[in-house]
Amino acid sequence: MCTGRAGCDACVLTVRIAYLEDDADLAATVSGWLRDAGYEVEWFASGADCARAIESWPFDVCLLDWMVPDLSGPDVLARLQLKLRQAMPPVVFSTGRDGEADVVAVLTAGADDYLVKPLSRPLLLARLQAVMRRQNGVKGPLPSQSFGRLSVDHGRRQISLDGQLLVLTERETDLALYLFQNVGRALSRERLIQVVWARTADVDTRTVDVHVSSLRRKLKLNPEFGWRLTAIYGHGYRLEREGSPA
Amino acid sequence: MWTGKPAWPGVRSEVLRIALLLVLLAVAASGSGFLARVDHLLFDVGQRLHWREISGDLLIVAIDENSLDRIGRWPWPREWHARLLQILCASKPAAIGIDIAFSEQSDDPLADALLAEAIATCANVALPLVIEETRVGGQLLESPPIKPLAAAAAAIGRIGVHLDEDGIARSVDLREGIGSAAWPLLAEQVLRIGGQWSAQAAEAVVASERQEAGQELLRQDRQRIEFVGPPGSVPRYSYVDLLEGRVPPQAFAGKLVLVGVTATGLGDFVPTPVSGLGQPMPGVEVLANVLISMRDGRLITTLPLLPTLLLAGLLAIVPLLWLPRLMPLPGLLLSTAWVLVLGLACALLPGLVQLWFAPGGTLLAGLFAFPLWSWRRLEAARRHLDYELRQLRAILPDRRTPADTSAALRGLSFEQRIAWVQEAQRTMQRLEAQRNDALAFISHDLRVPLASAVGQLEGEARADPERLLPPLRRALGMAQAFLWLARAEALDRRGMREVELTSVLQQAADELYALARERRLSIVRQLPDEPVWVRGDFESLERSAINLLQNALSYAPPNTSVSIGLDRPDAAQLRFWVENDAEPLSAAQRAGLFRRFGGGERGAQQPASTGLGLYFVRTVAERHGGSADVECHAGKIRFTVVLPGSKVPAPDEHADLRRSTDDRRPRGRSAAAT
Repeated sequence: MCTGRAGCDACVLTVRIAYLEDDADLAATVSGWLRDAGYEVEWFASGADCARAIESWPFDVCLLDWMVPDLSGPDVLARLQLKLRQAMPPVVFSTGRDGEADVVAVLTAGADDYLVKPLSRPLLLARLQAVMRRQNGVKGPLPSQSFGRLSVDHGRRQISLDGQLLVLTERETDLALYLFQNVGRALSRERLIQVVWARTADVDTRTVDVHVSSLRRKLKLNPEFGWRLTAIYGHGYRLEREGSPA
Repeated sequence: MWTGKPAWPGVRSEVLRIALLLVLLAVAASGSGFLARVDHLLFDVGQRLHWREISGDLLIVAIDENSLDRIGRWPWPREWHARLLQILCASKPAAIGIDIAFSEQSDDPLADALLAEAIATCANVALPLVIEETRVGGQLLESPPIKPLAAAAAAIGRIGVHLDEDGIARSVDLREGIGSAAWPLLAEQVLRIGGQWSAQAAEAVVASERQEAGQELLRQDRQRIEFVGPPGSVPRYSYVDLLEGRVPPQAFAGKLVLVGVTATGLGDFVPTPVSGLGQPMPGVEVLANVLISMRDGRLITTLPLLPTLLLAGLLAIVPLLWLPRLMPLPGLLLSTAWVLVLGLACALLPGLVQLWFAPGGTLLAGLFAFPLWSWRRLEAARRHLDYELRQLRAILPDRRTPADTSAALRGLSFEQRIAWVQEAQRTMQRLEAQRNDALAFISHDLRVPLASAVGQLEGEARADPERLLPPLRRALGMAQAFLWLARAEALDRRGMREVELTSVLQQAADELYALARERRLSIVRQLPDEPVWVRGDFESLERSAINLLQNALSYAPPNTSVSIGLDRPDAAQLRFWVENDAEPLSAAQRAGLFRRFGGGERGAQQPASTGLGLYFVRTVAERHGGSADVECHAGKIRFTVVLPGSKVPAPDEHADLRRSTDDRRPRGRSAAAT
């Protein structure tokens, strides 16, 4: 599981997490999970305090609740974006609202990912790890990745299933390589278009859906093969590992 | 609705506005006189309703057809008149008025002299003066009797009545003359001679003064005549009967006698309120009526303009005393009664108190009071309706009604508005039903598992999480299902975007992969390779597919498979389905499946079932304009959701794919799919 690796990373880097949550009981539980995983957690019950703290001493990642008294989660996000700009740490929202409009609003506002309450410990740790990996950045193309039956060679731009080389179009290859670089992260359509269709003007966002759907089929990105390719409502996609490959 | 006290806001100012409008209407109509004909009609009705007994001391000596037959063509030689006067005077009448104009010399000077002598002998004869238009130039001229006769007469009085614009004689001017209103009426003069007129004598007017005063016709004291009855009401004696001695001489003793023409051929007739069109009244009888009215003090005074307008204005607002307090029907009846009573009262007023108030304007205002008031009331009702509609639309989640701006509201007819309110009311009822469902759900479905968990926690020293979790999960699942359902019920087709249905179904199948494994079942995806677009709501469609799969996984026997598929039964429809092995269901069971909490009998076996899953599927399908159905066939049960969706042109993927490999190829040509 990913959790173990995150713990190891944390030992070396001592990752600091700013945690905004007004429910003290829940905050204690979640803080416990995070400390167990090796993170350094600072808990805030007030949005304004949280924003001030993050401004004065940047954290590595923020976990924000949506509904808090005074400054709400989205308000904190907006304020931080204004003050910190490029130095903005990755932000994960935890929210009781799972309506499409709410989730998409949070993601569009600039949050990196979201979690729907009640929180689950492995999911929380996986999400945090995914957004932090993004923050550290991918240092050059990964030479190659191996995911059970699928192996991805970033240098040669080749993907094979059970040792069999798959025939993909140029765009599909671009999209697949980008998804494999960002396993576990929420990727907006806009971002995918930027990366994959960078030189093409006026790409229909549905084009992304068409390519994702064709990748799902060709790469067998389904739970039977240990993958889940999820559409985040109207916002984008997330490629995740699911359990252990069948 | 309301009775008694007026209740809608602003009713007071509305009453004031209507009152002002009615007053203006009444005053304008009364002042302009365009309803004069209505006034005349009412006056005439009043005259006919009010016959009076005539006292016998006034007689007419009538120059009738019979007399013309016996004596010869008119004009008669004046010695006949002289002889008549001699006979009359012999019986000593109180006064004699002759309604024959002697304004020119006759051919026989001797006859004139005879007549003058007879008049002088009687000493109680009044002669007429006519004010007439000359044939040329339309100049007005006073034509008195010729000098000898005038000198012999006891008095000279004017004859002539005032004809209203409809040509009917209703009034006389007590004084009239050219240059100055000098001449009294012949009737007045006869009364004065008979000693029955107490008013002061007419001032003697010197001819030279009148010359200076100009040629204008001046009138004074116009008053209405009260007619005693239809033509023929005043007793008559035939001229020729009198001449030939067939009338007892004492018949005229002490009486007032008028001599005049009643023969139709001679044309001295005027239409009067009491005479039908076919039976005008002889001039001499009109004179008799004037005389009776004057003598009895029954001339009718017309209310002057200013008091008329004041009264009209006051009476116009009377209906507002009851209109705001009554329902429409009583209001209408009372307003109608008001107009009738007012009209009748005004018609009867002259006969009772010798006063005439022209009620036309007031009646018009009375007729308008009800429609005007009803209009304002309807307007108020409409405003209220619109306000309530806007309120309802603001609070009701139902957005199926066609338009939602107040501008759109304005374009609607009253009936459409009512239909909207009914629609809103139905929505309210539906909401009420949903609220009751929600209450039932919370009080039973949600409370039971929670209570069970609480019971376990309280009862045992250390609660076993393995036993604690299922009821809690169940409660959470229920609450979640209920929220999803609430969201599905609020779905609005207009807000839907295009959704790729195959990935929705793929995702749903992904979601249930773990559960299927756990139950040793497999999910078979019979989904097309190419994308399928449909206008819809991603989340609720995904949830529908998940619910169907969950349902199938719950009932499928172990080691079998559950299929999920998508196809297009015809060009305008899309269909996705979930199928599992199962015993066939009865028709009643099938019908009950999609009802709220309808999975009941089946669901009872499954602790995780909420009873809302299939109802949710149906709700989502219907909100998308489609339908949900179930069919059993060959040991399988298949749940189907049909959605409206014609083929949406896919994005130009082929061109895009092609360009990525070979940029030089022209765009738009079809290429084989990879």
